[in-house]
Order: sequence, then C-alpha cells, then structure tokens
Amino acid sequence: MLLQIKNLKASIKNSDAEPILKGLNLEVNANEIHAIMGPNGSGKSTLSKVIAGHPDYEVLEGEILFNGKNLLDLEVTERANAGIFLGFQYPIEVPGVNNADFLRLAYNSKQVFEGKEELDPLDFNELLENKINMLNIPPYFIERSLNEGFSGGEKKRNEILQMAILEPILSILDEIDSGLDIDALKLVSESINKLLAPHKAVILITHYQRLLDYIKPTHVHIIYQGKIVKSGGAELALELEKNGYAGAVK
Amino acid sequence: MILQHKTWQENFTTYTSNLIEADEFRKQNWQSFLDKGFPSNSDEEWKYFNFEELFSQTINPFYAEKQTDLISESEKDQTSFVLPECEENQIILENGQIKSQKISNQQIIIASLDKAFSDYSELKIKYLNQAAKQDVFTLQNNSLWQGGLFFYMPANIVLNEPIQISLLSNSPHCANYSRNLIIIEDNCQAEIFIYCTGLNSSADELYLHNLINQIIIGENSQVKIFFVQNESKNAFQIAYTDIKLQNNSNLDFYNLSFGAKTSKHLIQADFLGKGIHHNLKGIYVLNNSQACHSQVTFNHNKPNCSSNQLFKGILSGNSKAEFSGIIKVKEGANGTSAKQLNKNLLLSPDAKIDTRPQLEIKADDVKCSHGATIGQLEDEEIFYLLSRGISKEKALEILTFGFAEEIIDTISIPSLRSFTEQLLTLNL
Ligand SMILES: Nc1ncnc2c1ncn2[C@@H]1O[C@H](COP(=O)(O)OP(=O)(O)OP(=O)(O)O)[C@@H](O)[C@H]1O
Ligand SMILES: [Mg+2]
Repeated sequence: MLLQIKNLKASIKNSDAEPILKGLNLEVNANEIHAIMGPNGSGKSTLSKVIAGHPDYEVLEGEILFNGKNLLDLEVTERANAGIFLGFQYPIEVPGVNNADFLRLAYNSKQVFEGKEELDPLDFNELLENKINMLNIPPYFIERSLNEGFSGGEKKRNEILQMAILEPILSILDEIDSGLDIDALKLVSESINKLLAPHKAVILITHYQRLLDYIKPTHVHIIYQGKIVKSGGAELALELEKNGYAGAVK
Repeated sequence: MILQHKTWQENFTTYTSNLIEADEFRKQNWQSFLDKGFPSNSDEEWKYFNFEELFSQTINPFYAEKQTDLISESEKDQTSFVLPECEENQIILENGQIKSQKISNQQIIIASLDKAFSDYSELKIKYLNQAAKQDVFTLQNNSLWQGGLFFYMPANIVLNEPIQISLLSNSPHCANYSRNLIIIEDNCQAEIFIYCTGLNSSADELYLHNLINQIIIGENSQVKIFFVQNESKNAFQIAYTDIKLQNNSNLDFYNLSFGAKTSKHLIQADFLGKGIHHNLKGIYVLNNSQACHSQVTFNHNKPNCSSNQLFKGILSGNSKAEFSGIIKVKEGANGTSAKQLNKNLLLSPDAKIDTRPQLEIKADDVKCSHGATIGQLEDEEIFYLLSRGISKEKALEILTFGFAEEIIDTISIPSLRSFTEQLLTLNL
C-alpha cells in the first residue's frame, strides 16, 4: 500500500481550538486516483499540508505510513524526496528566485537524494524544454521569478510543471482546477493523465465534477468536519453533483 | 573605556610629522581636528557608531614611512583580484598610493593626486577643499593623505570596457588614507569598479581605511560606478563620497558592502544642473558582530532631476546596520522626483537595524517618496521550497539571494554580478 492514514487527528500548533482533522482514515494504492471532495473548511487542504509536513499543524493522534514507513518522522524535504508532491491550492510567489533555477535546484536535490548525478544547467534546460513542450507551457513561465505576478491559472499550471519535473510517486493536487479557464482545465487534465503510471497514485482535491470528467477517479471520498464520512467510486461524485452535500453527509 | 579612548586619541593628537608641517592646508585641518577631537554618540551623525569598539583597538594614525616592498610575491597572488573584463584597464593603489596602472584609452589621464595638484595649482584650488564635509575623519584625511589618485576622462569618450580601481590596504594596526579625485567630462560613457580590500585579507588584519572619493560627472555623461567594500573582517572603514552632477548626466552608483568589522559610508550627491538622473543602489550583508553605517544626503538643487535610492540589508548574527538618508529638495528645484527605500532582512533575532529615511522639501510640483521595511524570510516561502525537496539550508540561501537579486540582477558587468553573489554567499 502506498499511503495509509490511520485515525489522524491534527490541530493548529500551539492553539487551544478543537482539532481540524478528527480521526481521518484513508488508504491509497499504486495505480489509483482518489478524489477528495467536501464543503469549504472541512479540512481538505489541512490534510494535504499535514501529509506534506507543514509546520503550522500538529499531529495529535494517529499515523501516516508511506510505503510502510512512518511519514511523521520525516522532515518536509525528506517527504518530498521520498516521492510526495503537494500541488498547492494557493501557490506562493517567490520574487527574485528564477523559475528555471528553482526547478533545476529541486530536480537536482532529488537526484542527490537518490544518489544520482546532478544535471548541469545545459542538460537540465533540455529536459525542461521537453517538459514545457509536452505540457504546452509558454517559455516565459520559466524565465520569470517563481510564480511572481503569475495569474491564478498560470500558478496552477506551474505546479503541474513542477510535478512533471519531479515525477513524484504520490501527487496530492489541491484544487488544481480552480482558476483554470476551460481550455487550460482540459490541458492540465491531459497533462496529469500523461504523468500517471502504474506505480504512482494521485489524490485530487476538488469541488467540481468537471475535473473528474477528464481524470476518471477510481475512488471518491467525502470529507466533512475533519473526517471521511463516505467513500465510493466515480458515481459518488456524480451523485454529489446532483444532490449536494446535504444528502451525502447526513 | 574612557582610558582607552584617551590613549587612542593621544595616538593621534601627539602625532606630528613633516607632512603636516610642510603644507598650510594640512596644518589647518590637523589643527581643526585637534580642536574638535573625536565625535561621540551624541552627534546625530555618529549616533549609532560603536566608538567603544574602535577605541578598544590600537591604531596608529599613520603607517610608517617604509612604503616599499610591502607586497611579497605570494601575497600578491591572493589579493590582486581583477575582473576579467578589466584585464586591460586597472589601477592598483596600496595605502592610497598608485602601485600600478594600465589603461587602454590613452586620452584618459591617471596620475597621483599630489603630483596633479603640484603640477596644476588651479586643480588644487578648485578641488582640494571642495569635499564639503568637515567631520574629524575628513580632517584627518585632509591632513595625512599621500599620493592619491587623479583620474581624468576628457570629454566625448565612450568606453566599452569597465575600469577597475583597487584600493588595497596594507597597514597593520595603522590608519591609511585614500583620496580619489575622479573627473569625467561631458558626453562620456564609462563603468568604474572600485574595489576596497585588505592586502592580507586572509590574515584578518586590523587597520583603519579612511577614504575620500570626489566624483564629478560632466554634462550628458552616462556613468556607472560600482563601489565594493570588502575590507578585512577586523578592519574599520570610514568612507566619504562626494558626488557632483552636471546637466543631464546620468549616474548609477552601487554601494556594495560585505567586509570590515565596522564601516561607515557617507554619500553626498549634489544635483548641480537640470535633467540629471541618479540611481543609488546599496546592499549590505553583515554577519557576526559586523556593523555598517550608510548615510546618504541628496541635494536636489535644480529643477527636473530625478533620483532613486534603494538600499537592501541582510543581517545575521548580532550584526548592526544603520541607514539614514535625507533627500533635500531646495527652493526652485521644481519637478524633482526622488524616491528612497530601505529594505532589511533580519536573519537572526540578535541583528539590529536603525533606519531613518527623511525628506526635506522646499520646492513645488515635487514627487517624493520614502520608506523602510524590516522583515524576516516568509515561513510559507520556506515551506514551499522544502516541499519540493530542497534542503532547509539551500532554501534559506536562495530566498536570501532572491531578496538581493533585485539589485544584483541590474549589475551590468557579468563577472561582477557573479563576484557579488560570491561575496554574498560567503557573508551569510
Ligand atoms: N493555519 C491555520 N490557522 C487557522 N485556522 C486554520 C489554519 N488552517 C486551517 N484552518 C481552519 O481549519 C479549517 C479547515 O481548513 P482547510 O483549509 O483545510 O479547509 P478546506 O477543506 O481546504 O476548505 P476549502 O474548500 O475552502 O479550500 C477551516 O476552518 C480553517 O479556517
Ligand atoms: Mg482548501
């Protein structure tokens, strides 16, 4: 099993407020696509950040295993190098850090971690060019500072570019579809489909069926008040689209 | 403390030399210094300066006469850093005196300043006392400078290659004095890299480098000056740069500070004509207990000039920085546009910054802005980079770089850009 989350309880660090995640269970195998849906504020982004190791959150109880290893023992960097990728709901702007340089640094960090050779700028540029061609990304994306001044949709596409460069085993994409125009949604979905592989898995956090029209989930979960309250197949999302959350969570 | 101060001051005040006695100007200045004595923190300009640190060192007012054979061959290798672009155009001074010079454009005049002054007395009358600032360190320089640099670029010269001026200090436990008069006439184009460093920089030598630059830029000239302060980590540098700008001239001045235990650079620019544009960009990168004082005075005397100041500081350890800048827009200097911004990145809770951007406006139709920021690296930015598998150390480094990039990116000499990045990395 790729990812196993058992009875996960998490809250904001150093806060007396009640936990955001209140005993969440989830299992993801290789070659699966999981969609996680749920009302605003139900804890979807929190779950994704806890998996990635965001320092704002504290795990109170429970376990997260990745390939059988305890993920909670690992630093953020180590989790990423182990093959976990988080596509941010709100990607951060980093002025002064060139996107191409950043991508090369991220790529080479992984190479070093895996005991492989680092790529020099020339070789990396070749790889980068292939990826941006494959993803239909305009060249100015990599010339600019990381996400600086990018539109909402451009930021999301830049997340996919990072995913394509890093080739993670488990990708958690938090509302990758929000902010994308109709054409971009199609393009991004196609890109994600291209990056699928039998030894990999994807978790798509989304509010809308239209993303799932392009990327067909094997599993759909509904998260409500910090717990997964219902799981099913692709049909569950269609049902939600018709009846809203009211029917699903009662 | 008081005792140390006394000893220190006595070192200076008991100093007499033929040099001072031989010249009326030197004598007068030395007497003014003796009358004034050293300043203290109650002087506005020296409010944040750590005199305790300076006075706790033993520094003699003048380096012994033996000015020959100072460089042994091995030392020469480590310290004669030259930008590849400047191979054919470089002037090396040691303790303020020209050691060697090479220049491809034969119209440019390079000479020792005292020779230039003795050959052309009108030069001396016009420029020697022009540097208006009268603090004690200036008075000392006025009294004790020797050699000096006279750099004269006649009108209508366009240089395609930058010129490097290296100001090397080789005066262990002593003060040394640099005095550079740089005159660029009308319709010129030039890039000048001024590099200050200790000759024995690996030995972290203690010395005091007292430096005066007088820079005159003629009409319509386009000039870039890159001043890089990389003195030994135990040294003191007290610098004063006096800039005079004529009609429609354009000056980009970069003030890049990395070295010295304590450094102070006072930059004064006088806008003496119309249509002048002056960019002043500063970076100071400090760690351990380094201190850096940047003081800027812009005198907008004439109409329709613009200026833009951007100073960025990166402070680690228990370092301290001061930025105080004042823009004075004089009566009649209508249509002035002047901006001043000081941004600071504090990488350690023990680092300290005092920043005082100020405006003084006496003209109409003026666009001025000033401001200062002090901040840390953003946690969300750090997390974003870590989540891509980048190590914490590297993430902090590239975010810090990113902060300075706004200035470094605009350095027009490629090898100087990478040299600056190198100095930055070394000083984090
Ligand atoms: N760093 C934080 N500080 C304070 N509250 C937080 C923080 N992170 C999450 N929360 C709170 O936890 C709850 C869950 O937030 P989360 O972002 O996980 O929701 P979500 O399911 O992703 O919502 P949406 O669909 O709107 O993106 C919300 O009530 C939110 O306000
Ligand atoms: Mg969310």
